Amino acid sequence: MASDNPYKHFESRAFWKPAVGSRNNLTINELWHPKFELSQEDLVLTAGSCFAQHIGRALRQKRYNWFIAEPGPKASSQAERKRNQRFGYDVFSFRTGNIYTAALLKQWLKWAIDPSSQSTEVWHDDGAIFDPMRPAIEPDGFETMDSFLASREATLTAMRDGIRQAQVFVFTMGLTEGWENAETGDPYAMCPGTLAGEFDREKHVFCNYTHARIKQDFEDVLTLARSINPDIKFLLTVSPVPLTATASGDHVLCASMASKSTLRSAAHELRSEHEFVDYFPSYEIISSPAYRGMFFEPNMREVSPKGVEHVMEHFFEGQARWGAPKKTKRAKRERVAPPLPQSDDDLVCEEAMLEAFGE
Amino acid sequence: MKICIIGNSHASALKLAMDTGWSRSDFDIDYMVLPGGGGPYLSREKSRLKPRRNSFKMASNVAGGAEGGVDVADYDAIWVSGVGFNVSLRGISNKETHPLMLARINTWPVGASGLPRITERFMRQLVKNDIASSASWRVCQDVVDMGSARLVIHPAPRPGAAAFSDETHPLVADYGEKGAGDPIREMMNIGDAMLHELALETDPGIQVARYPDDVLDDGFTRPEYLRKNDVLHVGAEIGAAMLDQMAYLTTGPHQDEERLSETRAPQANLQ
Repeated sequence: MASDNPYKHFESRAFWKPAVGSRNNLTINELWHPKFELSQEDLVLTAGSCFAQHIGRALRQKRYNWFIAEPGPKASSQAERKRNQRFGYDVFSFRTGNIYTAALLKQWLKWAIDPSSQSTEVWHDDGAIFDPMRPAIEPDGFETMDSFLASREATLTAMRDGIRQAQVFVFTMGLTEGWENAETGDPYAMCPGTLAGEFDREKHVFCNYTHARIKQDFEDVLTLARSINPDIKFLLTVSPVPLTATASGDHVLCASMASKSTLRSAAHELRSEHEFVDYFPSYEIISSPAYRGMFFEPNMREVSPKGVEHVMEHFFEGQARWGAPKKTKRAKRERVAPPLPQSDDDLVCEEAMLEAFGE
Repeated sequence: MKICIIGNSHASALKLAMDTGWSRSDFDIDYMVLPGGGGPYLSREKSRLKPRRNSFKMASNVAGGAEGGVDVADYDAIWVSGVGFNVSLRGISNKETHPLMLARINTWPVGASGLPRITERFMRQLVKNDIASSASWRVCQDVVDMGSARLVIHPAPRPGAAAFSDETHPLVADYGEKGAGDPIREMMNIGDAMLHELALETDPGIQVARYPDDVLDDGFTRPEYLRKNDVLHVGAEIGAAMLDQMAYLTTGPHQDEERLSETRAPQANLQ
C-alpha cells in the first residue's frame, strides 16, 4: 500500500490522464496560473517576434491597456490602419519591427538608455537607407541620414518613456538564430541581403545563440529595463511558429525544434528565478502533441486564426483566476492608438521574406 | 471645343480673367462652380455630375446647371479647378484628418504638440491620401472613369505668406521661434509633387497645369497676384495665365513623354 507522498496532494492538473489524456483537447484548461494580475488599468508593452503582434491586438479587443508608446498618425479606417502598419506603427509598442532574439532586445534597451552608444551602421539599397535593426519599418527606406537618425531617436525615446510608464512588458521569443556584425558584435534584425542591404561573408556572421547566451542576454534586459522602472514586470512567451529557414546546416524541422526548445528552457529558468517574470504557454498550446497540430495552417508553420483565438482564450482564462478584470480609471499616458480589428493578413512577418530567398 | 470648368472658389480667377477679356474663339466655355475648401461635392449619375448639396450656392452658366448639373458627355474637355493639397490654416483647423494635424516630418523642429514624427516618405503618403480623398479629386476620378472628355487640372494656388502670419495659431506657434514657414513650404512642395504623382498613376492622359514660376516668392504666392484682402485666391492676371496654359494642354500635343520630362506649356509674361 502506497504511503503518503507529495503526488497525493497535487491538483488534478498535475496529472496527465485527468488533465490531458482523458479530455477533449479543447477542454484542457488551467494551463496558466499567472504570477501577477493584469488589470485593465495596467499599461502593457508588447514586443518580440511576429506572433507577439497577436497579443497586443487581443489585449486591446478585451479592453486591456495595450500601450503604444510610439503611435502612428491617427487612423480611423481599416485602410489608414494598414497604412500605419506598413510603416511599422501600431504593430508593437515601439516602432522596432519584429525583435526575434533576446540579443536584439538587449541592444535596443542599451541604446535607449544610452543613445550615444548606438550604432549608426546603415544598409543601402537603391539609393535608400535602411536600418539594419528594423529594415522593414520604412518600406522604401529612409531618404537621408538625418531622417534615419531622427527616427531612431523617436523610437529610443518611446522605449525609455514606455518602460518608465508601463507595468508589464510582454516579450515573445522568436529565434535562436541570428546574424551579427563581425566587427562590432551588434545583432541585426535579419540576415543582410534578404530584405535590404548586401551580404558580406567577411562582415556578417551567423550566430545560433545558446541557452546560456540567451539567458544572460535576457538577464541583462531585465536589469536594463528595471534601471528605468524598478517595478516593471515581464511576461515571456515563445513563438510557436517554426523557422522559415535555418542557416545552422541542420534540417529546418530539427533546427526549429532545437530553437524552440532552447528558448522555452531559457524562459522557464527566467520565470523560475525571478518573481517579476512570468511565462505564458502559447508555444505549448499550439505545438504540444495534445493538440495534434490542429492550430497550424496546412503549411504546418503559420498559426491559424482559430489557434490564435484559442491561445488568447487561455490567456484571459488564466487572468480570470484573479477575478474579473478591474475597470478602474486608466493610467495617464501620452497617446494610444484606436482599436484594431484582428486579421492575419495584417501581420508583419519579416522572417517570411526569407522564403523569397531560400530556394 | 466645348469646355466645362468644374471647381470651387479657385475657379473665380478663371472667371475673372474671362470677364476681363481672356477669350479664345475656338473655345466655348461653360462653368459649374460650387464653393468648398476640398472642392465641389458632386454626385455622378451616368454621365452627369450634379451638386450633392448646397446647390443654391452654385454658380453656373449652364441652363438648369444648379439643379441638374452638367453632362460631361457634352464636352470635349473638363477643366477641374482648385485641385490639390489644401494647406491654409483655415483648412487645417477645420479638418482633424489633415496631414499637418496627424503628424510631423521627423527632421522638423520638435514642437509641444506631441504629434507623431514620421519620415518625409510617410508624409508624402499622407498628403497623397489627403488629395485623393478630396471632393475635387473625386470629380477628376469621375471624369476619368467616364472616359469621354479630356481632363485638365487647374491646381489650387499656393496661399500668400500672410496666410501663416498668425503666430497665435496653434500650428504656427508649435514651430517656435523659427516659425512655420519652412515646414509649410515643404508641405506645399510635397502637395504639388503628390498631385502630379496621383494624376500620373490615375491616367497618364491627365494634364496638370502649372503656375508660372514668378508667381511665387520663396514658395508663397506674391501678394500682388492675390486678390484684395484675400490670402488664398489669385486674381484675373494669374487666371488668364492659367487659362492660356490649360487651353494649350487641351489642344496641344501633350504626349506623356513631354509631361514626364516636365516640359511646360508656354506661360504668359506676368511682368
